[in-house]
Amino acid sequence: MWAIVICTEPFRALAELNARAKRIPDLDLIVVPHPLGVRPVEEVEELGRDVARQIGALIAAGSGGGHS
Amino acid sequence: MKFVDVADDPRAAWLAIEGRNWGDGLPCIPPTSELVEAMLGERDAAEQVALLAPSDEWATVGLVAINAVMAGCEPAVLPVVLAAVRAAGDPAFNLLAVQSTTNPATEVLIVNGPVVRELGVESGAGCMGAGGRTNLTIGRAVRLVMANVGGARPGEGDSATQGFPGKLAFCFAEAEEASPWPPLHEALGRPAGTSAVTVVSGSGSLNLLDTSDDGEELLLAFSRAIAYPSSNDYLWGGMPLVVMGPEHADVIDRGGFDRAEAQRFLFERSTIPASHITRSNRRSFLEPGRGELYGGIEDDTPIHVADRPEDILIAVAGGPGTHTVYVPTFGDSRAVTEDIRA
Repeated sequence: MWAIVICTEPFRALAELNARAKRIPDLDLIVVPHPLGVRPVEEVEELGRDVARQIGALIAAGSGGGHS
Repeated sequence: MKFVDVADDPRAAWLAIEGRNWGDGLPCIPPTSELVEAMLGERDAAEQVALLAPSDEWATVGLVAINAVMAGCEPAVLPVVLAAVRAAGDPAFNLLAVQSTTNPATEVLIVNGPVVRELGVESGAGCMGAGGRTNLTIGRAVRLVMANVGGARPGEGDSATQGFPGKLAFCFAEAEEASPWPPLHEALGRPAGTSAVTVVSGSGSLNLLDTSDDGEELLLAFSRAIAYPSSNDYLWGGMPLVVMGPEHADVIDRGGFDRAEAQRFLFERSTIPASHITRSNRRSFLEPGRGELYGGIEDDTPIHVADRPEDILIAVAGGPGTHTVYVPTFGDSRAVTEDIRA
């Protein structure tokens, strides 16, 4: 299974801690700005498109620390 | 086990602990091998107690003992700390979420049984607050274990937006002799005469002052105080804790309510209409989590603080005075009771 985690910046450390705890320290992590709730919808949509591009790039590159 | 050489000076030892991020900001007793061995007694340091999150590391008896020394515990209270750590590690408690959340969630410990008198766990005046060395050191030891073994350090494994002082230590005993009802741990299924600790995912505390001498009126006032729309317990259906002062418990008992009847009254009278909950909280939390329970949620759907009356925990503690403390919880967590083994 391939896993890619998306989180906002303040939760990067927690995500990395969980990844180390689950013995997948090179888990692919996509970090977006925080908070999302106060941003205009258009900006959030653009962030979403950027995340989708990053996911596509990771898949195309055959990356995947999240493989198990 | 890792040893560190520090200057033979209490302040230097404390700063060494803080510098390694092993403390909680307050002075610690340096966990020298002599003190840890005294804490352990004949116990096997390698024995596993609970698998903690988010670190995914086992709390062993030895690691718990080290943190108990740092917290200032006497060796006699180690069984209470071990039981509380076991309880927090129970999957029903949902430790990963309780530790990692942005909510100010922590392990609130309620101690019951003969061990209360034997160890001097405070159940009277000020039992949740200043003083009460036994209470504070037990509660602090559990929190240090959660940070040092479980990985819940602020800004890392612990994402609490503000936290609250109860995250340093929150432990008290039930005032069983002052209570008109059977002890909490018996109500939760433990045999009479045994000792146990119940762990609740407390997220703050609210003082309820009321001088009413009418049991029903008092419960109605409590019901209204419990009912606030940004409460996790309404969003997930939690196990909130109502800690009645003995005077309040007496008024309610004389009003004809036993614990179960008081729980049902609070359950039925503390509902809030779904429309009082923000659209965002309804969409993100309430409807995914409890929509099925209610068969769909409309604006006028009365939302309960818990899924069942018995999930509203009632304990009795405190000294003289007409006060009750309401402890809301993380919500997505079950209270867990563990036997205290010698």
